[in-house]
Amino acid sequence: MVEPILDIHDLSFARRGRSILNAVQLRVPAGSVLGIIGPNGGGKTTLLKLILGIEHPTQGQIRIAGLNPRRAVLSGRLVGYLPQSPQLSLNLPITTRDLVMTGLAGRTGLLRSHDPDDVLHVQALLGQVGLAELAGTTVADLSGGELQRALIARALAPRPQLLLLDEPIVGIDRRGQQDFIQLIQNLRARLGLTVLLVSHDLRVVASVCDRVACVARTIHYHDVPQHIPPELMYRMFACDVAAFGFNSNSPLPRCEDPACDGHHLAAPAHLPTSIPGIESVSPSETSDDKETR
Amino acid sequence: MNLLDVFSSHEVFALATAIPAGSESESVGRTVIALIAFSAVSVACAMLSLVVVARRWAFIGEGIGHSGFGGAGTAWMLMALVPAWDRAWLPLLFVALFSLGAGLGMGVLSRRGRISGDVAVGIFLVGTVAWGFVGQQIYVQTRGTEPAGFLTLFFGRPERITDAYALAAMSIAIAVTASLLLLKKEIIAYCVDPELAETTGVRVGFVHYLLITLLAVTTIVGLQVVGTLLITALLVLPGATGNLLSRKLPVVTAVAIASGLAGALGGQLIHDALPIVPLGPAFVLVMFVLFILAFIIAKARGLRG
Repeated sequence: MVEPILDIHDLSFARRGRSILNAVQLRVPAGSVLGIIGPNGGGKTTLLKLILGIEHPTQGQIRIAGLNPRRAVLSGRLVGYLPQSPQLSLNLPITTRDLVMTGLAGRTGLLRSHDPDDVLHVQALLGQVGLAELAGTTVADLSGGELQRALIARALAPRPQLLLLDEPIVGIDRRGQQDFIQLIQNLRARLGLTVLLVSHDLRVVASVCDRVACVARTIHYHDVPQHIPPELMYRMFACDVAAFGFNSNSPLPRCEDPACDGHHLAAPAHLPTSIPGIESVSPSETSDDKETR
Repeated sequence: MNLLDVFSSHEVFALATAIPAGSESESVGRTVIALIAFSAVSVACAMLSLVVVARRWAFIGEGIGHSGFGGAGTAWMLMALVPAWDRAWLPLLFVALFSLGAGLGMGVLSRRGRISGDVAVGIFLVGTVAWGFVGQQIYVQTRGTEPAGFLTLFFGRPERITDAYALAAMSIAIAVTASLLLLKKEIIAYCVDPELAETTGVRVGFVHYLLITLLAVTTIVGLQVVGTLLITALLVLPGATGNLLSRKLPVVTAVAIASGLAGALGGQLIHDALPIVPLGPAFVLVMFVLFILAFIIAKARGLRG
């Protein structure tokens, strides 16, 4: 069995007495791409912040390559992160290359110059995200999509083992989304990169992820190594009960899968049977559908 | 002897040698030392102004400067109530302690948004100014006169630059320049987005408090030149001027430093030519005019909308 690069055990988190995440169990094997979906306010971004050590669990623990989040992040070379809506100060006139280079600050360390190999890596990344010609452009002059691509390159700059992407394709056009999917697949193939991808875009999740977790206070985790069929994707996404028209006070429909221990939510009957842009695959073709919690 | 005389005198080079007290050489020496001190403060403030503008910390500089008044008020109160503590250096000590303490206090409160930066500054600013006035009034009621240095604190006293002050100004200029150069990549990452920098492994707390400390110490030193009312100008105008004229960090830095130095030199020249114009305000007004010129140039060149 592949060793997990990310191991979350019995994780709970509350803010001002309100439970945000409860009893989360998650083991992410190295080299896998885990899609994290779920309703707004379900705790997806909080989960990423806990993994990054920005927030601290009220219970349980997180290990990244055997280290606690703080140590893993301070190493500067284990974790790369793209936030959902970064609060960048554009008053500092830095170039696109400078912005991407800021991703190396922790890896390089205090009072040291960047390694020439890392500088070359940044140059290569700028090319891979299609920003080579804009490397010398001031960040304030980039479009929203260009800035997003620069931030993706920034997250990849320290050559992390674990890449956390929070809504990475928001603001990127269709072509950019295809390039992003290609980039993730290439990185995974070349570097064995482990990726946690938070997204509401099921098409992208289905395209690049081999596992999907639905986060709604806890985690409903599905290990699907080959392809995620639309029916299963809907069932996973069914934790967004409001989006599917359920009354939150009424009992939720339960999954009828005999292998399920009862924590799954079943897809409502009125849902369409296919998602545009996702190839339809029979549920019987899925190799696994398990829930860790 | 004014600055114009200094530049036309060969005796400027005698600074490194012993200068007889009361001689013309001493006057030259004092003017040159003052100019060196102003230039050092200008460089320190200009470099920090890039951070102040990037992080929108202008109000923090204002808060630190005004907090010094609370320190002075404490010293005046102690001097009025305990005659044995009536020492000329006591207000300076308390100004430094209060400014540094307020700077760090604002840094703690504003970090991670526990309280917004503006609110944190406002709390310290009004609290310390109110406290300072209480101390000043106790001194006035007890001694029947204004405490020494009351107006200096508000408007500065640049004509009384001592060797020790010049040394302090040069030290802070070197400390600021060295810190910004040695920690350039961490400070840039922090200024772009502190939270993002933290996720990259930057020790954001260290960078945050280092910058606040440098800002506080620079403000304390700068108070002698322009006082609490105008210190913010030195911490904002150079960076703002640089940002108007370029979008390249090295150019913006150079313009900011040049703007600060032009303020120091120009202010001294104006004061020498028109002694009725106080040196500190002249210093600030030159930088303000440079900012207006930069704004007009930027508009003409389409650099800013």
